[in-house]
Amino acid sequence: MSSSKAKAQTAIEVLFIAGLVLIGAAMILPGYMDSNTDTVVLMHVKNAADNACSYLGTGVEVEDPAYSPLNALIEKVNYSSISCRVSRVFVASSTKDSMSLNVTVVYSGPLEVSKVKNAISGFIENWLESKGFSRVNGALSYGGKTVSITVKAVRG
Amino acid sequence: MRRAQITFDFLIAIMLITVTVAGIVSIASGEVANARTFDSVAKLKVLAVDLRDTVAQVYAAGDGFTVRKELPFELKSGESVTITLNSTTNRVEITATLGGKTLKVAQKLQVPLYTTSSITLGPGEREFNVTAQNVGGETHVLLQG
Repeated sequence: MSSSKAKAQTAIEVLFIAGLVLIGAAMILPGYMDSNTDTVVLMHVKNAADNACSYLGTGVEVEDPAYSPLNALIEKVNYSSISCRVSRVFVASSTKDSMSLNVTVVYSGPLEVSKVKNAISGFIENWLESKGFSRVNGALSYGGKTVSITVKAVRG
Repeated sequence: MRRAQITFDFLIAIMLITVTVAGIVSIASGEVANARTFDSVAKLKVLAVDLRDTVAQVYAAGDGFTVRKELPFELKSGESVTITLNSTTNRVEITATLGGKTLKVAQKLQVPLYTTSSITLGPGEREFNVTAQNVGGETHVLLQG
């Protein structure tokens, strides 16, 4: 009889510890998920920008609607290589339901800055859409956050 | 606590790790597909540059000179490569259908072309000739199967 009483006592202790663990988890989880979303979005955007640059570097067209903004640039320079690199990708601001990222791309060649900028941001958006980002009222959205991307092209 | 029992906080830790790993895996799988496309893109670019140089070489050697070229990759069924020496744009143009994707590349030629010639390679065909012919005092560079 006394042994069963002792058992019930341990169970309450375990419940208490479990409660503490649960509260800890509840405190950590939202922040963790939020920063995880930010990291995944940043990785996708950086990948997309890198791909855009290496695609321009090859000077070969792939007839795929996702690549059509970049194909226009390649045709303009007669299929020659456009040397291009991603100099910076960073999260400019991030709140609970929106985030904005800045991408800086350095390229060389005769192309106009505005054309390169529009082509790369068009490609990044196409790319993200094919990677599980959804369009909500024309804006890209991932994990419940509205994602806006600002591309800056620099001729260097 | 009994042995061989997973603690609650350990489960939560596993869950957090899973969330992170799932994100990485989704990015990695996309990158694999991308790397495959870039592989064929790079090979085509090399082929285009190589052909540009070959045409210049054949043109310089003159009448009757032939270079036998080989595609740097094997074509599977449903894939094809069309190579055109376009005299209007004075470019070597390659259009390839590889793995369900259509790829296009062009290179400007350093020598004049007087005629347009073209060749389409399908599965099992890898080799083609780049030949110079003297037609009325002009050196024509042609592609032949």
